[in-house]
Amino acid sequence: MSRSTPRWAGWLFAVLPATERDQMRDDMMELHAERRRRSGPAGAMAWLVWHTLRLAATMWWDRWREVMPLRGVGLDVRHVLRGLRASPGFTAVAVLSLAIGIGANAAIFSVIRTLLLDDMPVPAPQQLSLVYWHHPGELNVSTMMSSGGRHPQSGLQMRSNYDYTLVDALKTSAPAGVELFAFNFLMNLNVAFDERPATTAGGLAAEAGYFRILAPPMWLGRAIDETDDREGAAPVAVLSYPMFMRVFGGDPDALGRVIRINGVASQVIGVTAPIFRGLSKGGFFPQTEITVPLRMVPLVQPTWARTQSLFASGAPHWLRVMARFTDQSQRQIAASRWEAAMAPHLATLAPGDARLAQVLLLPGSRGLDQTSADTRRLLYILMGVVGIVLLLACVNLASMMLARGTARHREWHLRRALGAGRWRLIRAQLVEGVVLATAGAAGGLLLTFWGRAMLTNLLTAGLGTAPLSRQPLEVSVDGWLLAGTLGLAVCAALLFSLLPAWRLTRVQTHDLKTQVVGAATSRLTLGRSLVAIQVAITVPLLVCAVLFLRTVANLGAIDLGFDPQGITYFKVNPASLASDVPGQSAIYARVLDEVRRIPGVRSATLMENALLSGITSNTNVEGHAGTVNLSINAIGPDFLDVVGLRLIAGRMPGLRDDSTGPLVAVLNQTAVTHLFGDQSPLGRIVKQGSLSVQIVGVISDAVYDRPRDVVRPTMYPSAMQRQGFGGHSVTVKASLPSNELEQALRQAVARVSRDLPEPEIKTQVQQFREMTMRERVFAQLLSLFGGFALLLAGIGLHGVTSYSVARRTNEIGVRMALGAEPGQVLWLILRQVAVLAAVGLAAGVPLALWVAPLFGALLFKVTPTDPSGLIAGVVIMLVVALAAGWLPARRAARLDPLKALRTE
Amino acid sequence: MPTKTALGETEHHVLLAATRLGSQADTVAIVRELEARTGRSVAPAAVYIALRRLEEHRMVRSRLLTRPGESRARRTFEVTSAGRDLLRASRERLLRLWEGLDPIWRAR
Repeated sequence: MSRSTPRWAGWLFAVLPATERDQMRDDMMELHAERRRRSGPAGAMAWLVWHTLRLAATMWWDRWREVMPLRGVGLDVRHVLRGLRASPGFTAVAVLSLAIGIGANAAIFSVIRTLLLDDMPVPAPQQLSLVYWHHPGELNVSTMMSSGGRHPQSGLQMRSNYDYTLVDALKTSAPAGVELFAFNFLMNLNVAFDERPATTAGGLAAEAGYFRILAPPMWLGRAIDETDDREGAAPVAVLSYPMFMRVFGGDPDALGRVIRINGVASQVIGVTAPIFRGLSKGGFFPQTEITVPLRMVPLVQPTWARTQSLFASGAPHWLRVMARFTDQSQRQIAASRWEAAMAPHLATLAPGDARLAQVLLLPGSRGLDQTSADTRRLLYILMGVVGIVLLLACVNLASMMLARGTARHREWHLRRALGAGRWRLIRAQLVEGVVLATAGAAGGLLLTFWGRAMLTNLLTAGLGTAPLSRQPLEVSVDGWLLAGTLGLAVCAALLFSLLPAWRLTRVQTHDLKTQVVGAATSRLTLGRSLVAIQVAITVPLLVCAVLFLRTVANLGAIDLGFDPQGITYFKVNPASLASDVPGQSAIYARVLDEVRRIPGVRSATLMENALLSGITSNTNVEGHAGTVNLSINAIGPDFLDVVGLRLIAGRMPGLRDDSTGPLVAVLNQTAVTHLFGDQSPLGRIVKQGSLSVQIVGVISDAVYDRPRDVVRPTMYPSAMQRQGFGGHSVTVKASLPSNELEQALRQAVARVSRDLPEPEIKTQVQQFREMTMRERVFAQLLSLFGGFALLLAGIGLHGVTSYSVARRTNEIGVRMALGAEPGQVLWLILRQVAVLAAVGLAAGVPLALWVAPLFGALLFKVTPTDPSGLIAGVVIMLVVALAAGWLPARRAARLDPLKALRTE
Repeated sequence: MPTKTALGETEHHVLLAATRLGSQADTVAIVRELEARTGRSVAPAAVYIALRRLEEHRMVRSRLLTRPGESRARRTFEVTSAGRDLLRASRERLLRLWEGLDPIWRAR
């Protein structure tokens, strides 16, 4: 009958299960021939197609029901558990490697989600946009707490800030369906309650519209409304939940209590919900811990309003704007109306420049997104690394299960011979996979819980998102993560159990006998390829780990120009006690005085910006050789002694160089070269904008911004003549243990005034470690994962070699009986290992050369293709491979030929 | 395998057809027989699955037979004594259910 089957029907019958295909095809063709006689070729063909498909579906479904029913799964599970208990080594490696793979993935993913993916917990966050703008001209305007950067699409230089009259103009010209509110961050607010020491908080000044339009979720009390945000209204504040816990310990009676914000008595009226972190997730602009009405800014931030009202025209640009587009179609209309509305204001900022500003709408659903493209890329690379680790764990398990299954081939064949269907055996194998995956997922979640805090700290610090925030980003483990982890585990289970299951059960009952012999002597080609793949994947991890270890070593060996040991500093912000330079200088002088009295403190000084903090100031200075952009860092007396720099010529600024005297500064050597060439700078006057500064000395070079940077030309003016951003840092050189010093410093600050916030004390060494955190995090993670991959590859190699020795026992006996020396036998086995390792390396080295450049930007004084990394990676891999092969090889070499010959 | 105590409708029909066909009961013949006697089109898939179930429960047993003059082997079914018992029991159950209903039926 099959002779008459047309070709298309042959294709059709391919969907039927192979075991019954021939019977069914013949039957169907017979019935088809009958139909053809009765109802013609077209009807018969339709009948055949439809009924064959239906037959296939029915048969496959029936087969699936044979595998799937839970009948007997309990038995399978018990059987599997017994088997796993019998081989604890296998079980431990399987569960642990899966746990590490799954745990690392869950942890990194939860960090990525929090940093990059999560929207703010407010209604319809995708309707929100940050309203930035661009103007091609030079604008004569100063800004407060602004952020710039380039627009991601157009590449235009962006401005984030507006003055109050501009905000007003935007509001009145906004079309229907568009609402906006003004806000800005207040960097460090001193918050005091009762007689307890003050604490520092990340602040936000916002219009009532912030609570109405953004609608952050509230926990207690009420939001700021229009009556609070009026000239002369009583000062009020809304706390974040963490702030509420910190100051009031979660006491609901906090509502109505009065706290002092930068010295301004304000009533607490509400608390936002714990899930809400503010418009910034942390970073340069801190998470919002305390929110005050816009009208309170002149009180809490008096320096901003020193010369004129913040609410009149001509004030600095001190406000940011966020808009909610309930009607998305209005976006273009709103932008063009706003561009027109800004024109009259810009006319005064850029006289004679009639060009319009261009309004740029940035996505606002995640608030102010401070994660740089760089960080983003690194996180995704890290995600790739942990994904590879999980893949490795799975490949390793697959090869272990395969070897284990091959070792148990007699059991398999016995079960088949006793009537177990192939599908039933596959199911048993799947159950083993699922049991292992579940255990692995549980272990992984435990690891995530334990490792989360550490990983989050490492990553946030390492990725440079938290230099100023007191609250580290919180990474949550919730239902989604649990579901994702379980999904991952199930996929892993399918991946590593299906392959061996399929391979092992491909035996027909009728050729049981031959297959038993065949399986027993199988060369385990699949298992060997899996091990080679493991080696290939491990190599790039090793190479990158070595490159990062070298980077960290190189960073440690940098010549900073000064000695960071024994230096401790903390920021003092006297803004709540005095708003002018002389008043603040007096407070600094008192703090320095108290600090110097601490026994063990060798010297103390002031610094505008702590060294290596990533925060620098800079300014354009006109010198002998034209205008030069200089880094600038105001310093106090004893600076040289504290930091350990040398005075090369002239003198240092002293306490007497204060606001009453002429402005003075010293330069570093690089700055002298830039400004004056080889002439002496001493006594010269340089122009810094409208200010004239006299150069009184020259000091040696030191790195200022970040450890990786080269020494920049730097000018050091007197700290008594320049107001720092958020206060100067008191910097101390001491020989005390750090905890004693910290306590003594806190007491010293408290003695000066209770309204000074409790200082956050940091050592220069800590700071250096933080600034190189990113590199160190990668070095640690890659070493960890590389070592893990190495271990797994070693286990895999050991497994296949042991198996091969067991399989060839008889052959080895023959060889030894014929006179082979133990050394020759050893080499016979090791050669196999070496071949496997070589195949893996041949694939792994190009892979490493392809992967390593992804990390290029993070490496320091070592190139991604540096031969040292490759050589070290290859050598480590070879050593581990040979060590893994050595044990079984030695066992083979010590075989007793007589016993070996008797082995079946 | 639990003992089968009742027959589904298709199983019932297939078992009856197989009984009637005797030694000629292969799948194609059963499909033809059912179509001829019920006057309805029958899906081969339903017949296959019914035969599979019946065989699992030992109501039929099958052999591959090559008939004289044919090149192909046909899976040919034979109703076992258990199958015949179950058919009888089903018939009696149905008859009991029909008892006394015939006059009413005819009156309509």
